[in-house]
Amino acid sequence: MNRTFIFSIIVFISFSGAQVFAQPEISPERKAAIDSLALEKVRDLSKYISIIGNKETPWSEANRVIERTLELFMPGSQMGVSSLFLDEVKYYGIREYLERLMQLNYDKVRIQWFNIQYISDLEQQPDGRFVGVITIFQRFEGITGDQLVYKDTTKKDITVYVERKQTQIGGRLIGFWDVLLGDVRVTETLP
Amino acid sequence: MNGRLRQMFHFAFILLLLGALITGTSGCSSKKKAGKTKEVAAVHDNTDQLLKAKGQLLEIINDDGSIPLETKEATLREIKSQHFDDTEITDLIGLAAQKIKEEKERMAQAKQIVQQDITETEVTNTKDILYGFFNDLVSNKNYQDSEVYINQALKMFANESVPVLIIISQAGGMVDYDEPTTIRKYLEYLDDTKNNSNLINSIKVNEEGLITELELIKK
Repeated sequence: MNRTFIFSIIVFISFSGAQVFAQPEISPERKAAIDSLALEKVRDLSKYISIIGNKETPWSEANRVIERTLELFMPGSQMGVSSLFLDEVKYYGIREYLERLMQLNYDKVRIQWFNIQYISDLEQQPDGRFVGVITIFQRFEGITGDQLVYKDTTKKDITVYVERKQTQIGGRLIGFWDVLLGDVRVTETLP
Repeated sequence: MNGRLRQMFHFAFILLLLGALITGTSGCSSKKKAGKTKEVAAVHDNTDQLLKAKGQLLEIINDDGSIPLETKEATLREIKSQHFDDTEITDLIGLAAQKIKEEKERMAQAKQIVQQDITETEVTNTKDILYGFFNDLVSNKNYQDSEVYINQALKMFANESVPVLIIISQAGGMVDYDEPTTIRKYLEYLDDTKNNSNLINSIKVNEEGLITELELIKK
């Protein structure tokens, strides 16, 4: 029993090691392209959130955009939500967060993301994936009638996962970089 | 008297016989003569045909393109059907056939080049029209207009699920793509994000001229 266990451990370590050493080197040009791609996905997210939150967006359109937004995230990812009136940050599943955003009790909602940048560069992990953190600032404005009822600026950190995958299209093998967003954590909320 | 008469009769008989003999010989000779004339005429005909065929074959061989290809093919067929037993004709037939073959190949090649030119022009036009729709979508702010642009652009594609590949890098001979998407999703993406950061790299079209694959490249 003990021998089998020790043998399994050795085999596991050997294979893990093999994986570590099997990672191909990525040239700086290719790495730069991956960095830009991940940043672009976060910018796309900011546009989607703005569309979903906008009260002028038709309901069917907002629902379609919710589906597109969900495709950006890893399953099970969470979005942090803060308020100037609450001490704690609440975390929701991405779909729940987006549906709540769509139903916010304001006449007008304006959401704008800015200063989108890497806080932690994409680094290759032993399993081959690249993981990094992108930070954003979100300006939120809730308007009822002509009155700006609520506004805040939140700093959020988004974990980004980038993985090399392959798929066949038209008989060709296509190597692509799959960018997926993870949890979005609130780090700061300012008036 | 009787002896004289007998002598005269005998002489007349000999004359008659000689006459008959001469007549008979001369008839045979004219028959032979007639046969010989026919033979000479046939030889003459054959020689004429041979000369005519040679002339026609030389015309084919030396043609600078003024004789239609179909005419040349028909002439060659007719000459071949006459089965001339002449080595010069056989050689000329070979040369004429080669000339026709080469001309056919040249015509096919020219046709292919023209076809290729037309296809390339069509592809360029299709790219321009499609890119026009991309620009319309990113500059438009009206949902209903967007729907119209999307539907019009989709008419250029074989279906809504046509794959869209986006090249993000070609560094060091390695081609890296973004995650492949479909044309409907890409058009909606342009409308949603207003981010037209890709150029059209290549398109594949089917026999109906509809796009079956779209490859974009980061600007």
